[in-house]
Amino acid sequence: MNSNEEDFQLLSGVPYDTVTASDVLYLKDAAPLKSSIDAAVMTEDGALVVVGWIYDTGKIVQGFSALKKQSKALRKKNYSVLHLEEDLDGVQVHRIERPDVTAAMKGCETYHQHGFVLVVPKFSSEYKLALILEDGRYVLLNYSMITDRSEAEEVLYRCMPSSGSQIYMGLQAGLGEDNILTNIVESLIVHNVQHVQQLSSCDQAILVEGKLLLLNGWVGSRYRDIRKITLIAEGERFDITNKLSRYQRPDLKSVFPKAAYEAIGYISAVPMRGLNPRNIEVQISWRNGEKDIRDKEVERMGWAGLHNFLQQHYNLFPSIMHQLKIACKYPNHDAIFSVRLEKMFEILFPNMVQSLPTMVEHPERSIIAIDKAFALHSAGLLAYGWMIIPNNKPQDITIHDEMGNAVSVKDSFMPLVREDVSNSYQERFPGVPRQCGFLLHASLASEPGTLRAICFHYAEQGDIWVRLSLNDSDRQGIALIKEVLGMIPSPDQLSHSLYKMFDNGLGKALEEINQQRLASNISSNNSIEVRQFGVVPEETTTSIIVPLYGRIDFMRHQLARFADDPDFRKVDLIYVVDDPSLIEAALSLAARYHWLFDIPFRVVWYDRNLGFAGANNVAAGFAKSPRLLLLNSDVIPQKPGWLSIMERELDTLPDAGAVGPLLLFGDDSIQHAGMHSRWEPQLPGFMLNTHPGMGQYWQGGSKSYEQPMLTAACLLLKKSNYDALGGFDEGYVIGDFEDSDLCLGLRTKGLRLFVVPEARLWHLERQSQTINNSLGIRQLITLFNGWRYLEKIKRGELVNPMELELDMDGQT
Amino acid sequence: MKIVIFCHAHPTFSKGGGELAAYYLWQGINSYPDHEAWFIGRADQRVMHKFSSLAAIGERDYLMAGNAGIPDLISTIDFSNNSDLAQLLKKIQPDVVHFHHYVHVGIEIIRLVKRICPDSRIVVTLHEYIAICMNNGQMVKTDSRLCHHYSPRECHLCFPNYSQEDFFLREQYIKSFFKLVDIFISPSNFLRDRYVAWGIEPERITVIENGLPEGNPTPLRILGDGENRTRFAYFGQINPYKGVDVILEAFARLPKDLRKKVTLDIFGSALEQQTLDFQERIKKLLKKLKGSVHLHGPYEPHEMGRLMGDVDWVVMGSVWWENSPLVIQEAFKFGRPIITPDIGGMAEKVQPGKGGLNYRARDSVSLSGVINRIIEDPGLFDKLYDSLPEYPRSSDITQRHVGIYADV
Repeated sequence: MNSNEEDFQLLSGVPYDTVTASDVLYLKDAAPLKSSIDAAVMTEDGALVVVGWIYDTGKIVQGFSALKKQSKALRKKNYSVLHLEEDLDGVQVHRIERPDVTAAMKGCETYHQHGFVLVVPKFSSEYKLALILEDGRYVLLNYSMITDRSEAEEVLYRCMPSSGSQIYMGLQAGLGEDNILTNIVESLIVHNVQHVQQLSSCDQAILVEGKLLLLNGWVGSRYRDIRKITLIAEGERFDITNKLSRYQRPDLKSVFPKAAYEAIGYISAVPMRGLNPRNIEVQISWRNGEKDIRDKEVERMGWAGLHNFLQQHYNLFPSIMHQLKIACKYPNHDAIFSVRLEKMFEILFPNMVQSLPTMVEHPERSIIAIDKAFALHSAGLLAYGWMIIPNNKPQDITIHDEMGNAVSVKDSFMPLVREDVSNSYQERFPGVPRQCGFLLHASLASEPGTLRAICFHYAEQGDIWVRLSLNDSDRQGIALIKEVLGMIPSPDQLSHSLYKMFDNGLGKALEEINQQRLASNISSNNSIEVRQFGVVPEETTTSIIVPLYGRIDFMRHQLARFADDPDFRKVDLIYVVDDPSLIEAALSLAARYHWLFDIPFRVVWYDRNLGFAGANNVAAGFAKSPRLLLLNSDVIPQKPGWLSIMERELDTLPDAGAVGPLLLFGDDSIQHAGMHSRWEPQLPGFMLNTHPGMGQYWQGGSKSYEQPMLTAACLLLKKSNYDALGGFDEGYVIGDFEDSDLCLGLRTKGLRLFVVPEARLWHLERQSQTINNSLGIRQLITLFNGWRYLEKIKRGELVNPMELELDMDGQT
Repeated sequence: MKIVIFCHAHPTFSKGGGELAAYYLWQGINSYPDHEAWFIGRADQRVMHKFSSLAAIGERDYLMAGNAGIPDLISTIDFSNNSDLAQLLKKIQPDVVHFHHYVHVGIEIIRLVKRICPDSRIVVTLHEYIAICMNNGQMVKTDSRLCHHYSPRECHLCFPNYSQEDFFLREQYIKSFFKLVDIFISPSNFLRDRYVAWGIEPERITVIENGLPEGNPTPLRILGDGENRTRFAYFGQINPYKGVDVILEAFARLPKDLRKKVTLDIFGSALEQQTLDFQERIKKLLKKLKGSVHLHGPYEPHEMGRLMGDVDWVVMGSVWWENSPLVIQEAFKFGRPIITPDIGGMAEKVQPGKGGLNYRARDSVSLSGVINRIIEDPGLFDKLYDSLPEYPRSSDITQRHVGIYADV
């Protein structure tokens, strides 16, 4: 809409301030401020593009302005002023990283944004460019305006090494992508990258206490192109190629536009072994045969000086600490130096970890975030997080304790599907894999609140350090296990690698949490209480143990069915309340019904949930009969007499270790007629239990027959055998596989297992867990138990049920 | 013999057919010189003493606290060996304990009595299908279809909050108490068959009809000039199960000129306790039938004979099976033909042409046709009136009970 003429009118029509000549300085009079214009180009459509830098440690520069001497006739030596960013539309100032300026000024700051690209869309050449200072004065900048295209190209080419891609970005924003000048710069960048492949610098060489040389430098090349890096001090050569800590230098991006990943900082600590160099030389040999040699004057520092240096160079802190940690281990330091190094480490390393972020984000390079880290005491730690490092895998991942001791967790690294992350970063990092989440386990014992750092060691990006926040979790035991498993995102999409995930450390960690839970159970065993209802018969043949969990009314239903069964005149019935929320209800139900049903029993309770195995083991401690019947509360007898049948079969079948009845659903179809193992194709690696014939009509006879395993929903065995096996293995969480474990335990002792179809009970199991449908926390716990079960079989602690050769006579 | 009769309610507070039958039985037994009977009716806590679960309102007439819910039938009474009830039973030492219904008193009381008095014989009279069906024992599905047989799978579909296993457990729990019962009494063959299909052995259920006290028929009303016997009456509660809406719809279907020739008198109450939807439906039909239908409000059982004097026919609308509705026997006793749906206990008690007519249950078109037929054929009334069956007398029924008490 606006024609060029109108725009010029607009510019000249802008109201401007006027200042007197005494407020306008030349740069040389504005020390310590330093500035230089590398290129000032007037484009064909009248835009001004200025590339340069301002080294302004005092931070006195406020912005850019344009000054024009007012006509001599009017007011001599006065200037009219335009504040470019305020008074004119479309002015763009783009900041540029210029570490080379820092280096040239011998500055030690980590802030390198000295450079700038200024674009003024319509600029009248009557004006001169100037900086506005905070005291209201102006500093005129010195430059010569270029209007010729080839001249502009030549000048801009010289800017490429320091700031190519950023100039491009500035022009893109200020002039647009299709502008001729923007295109010129773009082509220069491409050209430039091919030329500047090998560049390096040695920024610092610090001799600490005269013993240890700390080298800080950077290499502007792909790391894999480096053949060898050698330090030369007093003629002695140290190969430090593999003794470096590498760290990210996002600032170097400006040096190597469009090839930013090729630039990397390095730190190395080299013991000087008696040398005392004034200068050192770093020699980098590239694989293509070229060499780059940098020399540096050695600074000397004591401990205090190093301490100060670290405070000022926070970005170097982790790498230097890492190098120092390695240096601590060198054998031939003198004793005092070693002790002092160690001491300093103790003080500084926790400081350093404390200052690390929990999320690292280097724009366009990498993001690493830790979502949650669990301190699992002696079980070590577990960390959930996600990361986006395009096209790269870490060479190593290390976790560091507060003393800097590192353990590698690379082998426990478990990729997880994080569609939430991949979706939200798809635009910024096209092709982010869905599996950008991860789970790590470190065996490093960790208490809540202790300091832990995690370091991802990349070949090209260098080391990325992140703090692990081990917050206090009031959860423990099963609640903690559930929390840990609940963090696994989209487990449905992991079913083919779940076994590996448990194998990679998660399984061990959960086992350890469970062991801690068991240990705390043992220490609080004195809280177990027992109450007798009715009078237990003197002579009993079988102790029946029924754990109660979640639902109490089964007790009433069972008692109504046990009543009038003469077998129960010789039974020692124990209800064990494995659910603190049910204690009151269980006791009041017992008090209300025991006289009505005329069945004596005991109620055992305690203030926690031990799980199926634990509940049975506690109750078994109270059992006083030679046999144990393990019974689920949702198993209901069909008619009296079933128990004496099972007792008879246990006593008379050859080598019988345990017998189980035929268990039927409410509609009388089979719920359990024996138990087998099978490999689950949808969950590779897991050996699961299966009930053959489930849901079918029973067509077998009434003769007892052998099975590889039996369910513990109703299982009769000798108490001596149960005790000899130590009862159920409580290492299984909540309750799966402990029955097959117990069965295999009996088989390992050479005993056999039989189904007694003459004894029939209903088992009203809502439905056996369908593991595949949806992998919730409960299913993950089942799979953990499954992993643990199979590990025991693999270790030979239990016989392999797949290798049993049985005469399956009578089986459906 | 000493007989204790438990009842789910006391006629002082509730005059349902079951309570009345139980009370007549109690009175009947006590009229025998060599038998003694106690009546224990469950009553609301509000009418009880503060610290006792029993209250004697006569020498052998008691109220008892407690209220079991329909879903699980679990008793709220004290099960201990020294409870008020246990002490009373130990004092009486009954030969027979007869439960006239198990609802409200709870199912476990059967075992409680067996524990306190192990030698007592247990008799249970079945009233409707509460043990079989959780939908108030109606055997009507929650989507209002008729239910023909018990199945935990289908029960779960009626009550999705209860699993199949819950229904199975309920069944097995109730059966664990029913197995202590020496004999069941059912007032209809239909009810007996439903319990047999559910799992009670056929030989354990005897059918004895509910009886009524002796009485005379009510004389027929005198007809005016050119008038026919086309006055109909409904007796009972106004609720969806009883199907008053079906009857009203049938009347509304009659052509206007025919409608002028008939009237319907409704004796009963409880409309205001029904859902607003149902009330709305009834009111709409009443408005349409203004002039033909009259709402008389509640009545007492003893008024029955007099009320029948003004009408010619009794009509039922029940949309469930029913068991043995007392109103059928009352119609027979007072001498009025009765029109009933053709299902369950109603079809069993009223056979077409023998004192009454049937129509297709839940079908107002069918009932409308029957009414039409009655208007068109004035001789039909006389035919049915002459074929009215005998009604069961309380004295006979008591006699049969005493016989059973002695036999078991």
